[in-house]
Amino acid sequence: MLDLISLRTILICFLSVYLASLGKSSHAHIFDQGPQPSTIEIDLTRAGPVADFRFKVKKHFSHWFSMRFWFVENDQAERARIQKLLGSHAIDKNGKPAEPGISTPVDLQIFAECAGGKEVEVYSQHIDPILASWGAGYFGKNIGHHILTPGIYRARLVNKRAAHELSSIRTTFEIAMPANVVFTPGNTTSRGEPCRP
Amino acid sequence: MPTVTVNIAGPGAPTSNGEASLAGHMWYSLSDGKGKTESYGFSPAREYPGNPFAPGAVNAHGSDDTYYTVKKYSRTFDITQAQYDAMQSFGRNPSAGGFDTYYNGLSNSCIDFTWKALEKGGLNTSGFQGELLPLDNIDRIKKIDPVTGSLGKPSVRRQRF
Repeated sequence: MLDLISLRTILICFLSVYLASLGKSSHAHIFDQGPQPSTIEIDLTRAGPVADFRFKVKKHFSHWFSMRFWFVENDQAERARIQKLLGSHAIDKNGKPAEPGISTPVDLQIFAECAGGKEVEVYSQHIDPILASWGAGYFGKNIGHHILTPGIYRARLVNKRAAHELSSIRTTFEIAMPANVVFTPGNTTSRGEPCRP
Repeated sequence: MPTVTVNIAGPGAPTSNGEASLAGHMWYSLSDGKGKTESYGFSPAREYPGNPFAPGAVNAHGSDDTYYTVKKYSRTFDITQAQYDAMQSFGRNPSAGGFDTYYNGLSNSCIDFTWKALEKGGLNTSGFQGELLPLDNIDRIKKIDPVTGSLGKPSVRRQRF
């Protein structure tokens, strides 16, 4: 007689096969709608502009902007060293960072590219972000997020402090859509509006 | 006194920037009892939107306490400093705690992550890995005995940690 655990295992196997086949058959349609390029190498050891590039948005969705600080996966010593530099995401009773780590203030501007080469600023952020997330080989600091409609944009990131502490750490600027969420455009800004006179 | 709060959001739960959770979410929040708070949740990394099998990340959207604006259920446990330290250590470095950081929506998700953290903190002594969907875990969380860490009926036996 099948118990609940066996039933769950069978269900997982079935759904795994189904979803895997779904992903293979329509991979580009379902999963490949992130912006391009989505990752740019940056050098935070010098102050001033560290990234200025055009990117293509393929899906009307919220796009997140962040910085990542990389280490070799499973290198626990290097991971611990970087984590100590970057602090943590904990906040104190006043809502301020409890363990802020080194300061990495940046200015980010996103421009929509309109007809005739005209650019319109659609997003601007001035922030000294704290550690927010981490994966198998990186730590991340979130800069902000904004809903973007399909089209061509330009990102300009300016580093406000030369962070020499990061000299041996590969650092990137990332643009990505959030995972595991649904987004209904509704009454949000249409693509044409940023470029409308 | 330190506390841990287990949080569950349902499918469609709104997020702070106007999106809605696809299948719901489960995460935990720690408080050191002196005003310091931090939360830990596991999901696919942001560059894999909609992909149920992908490299995972902790707090991919920042603090889930602020990202999810509506919770379906929360339960707070008073814990010892040792329990707090164990769950904080796990959240900050889950792979060192034996957790595979590759996200699998069916068998290694936010649910497995939270139950593993509870196990590290002595609040899941049976090593339960969770029900498949976030909301289905509410009854299980309700059954946790904060003293013994078992999912059975409450006991008066004090747990050593």
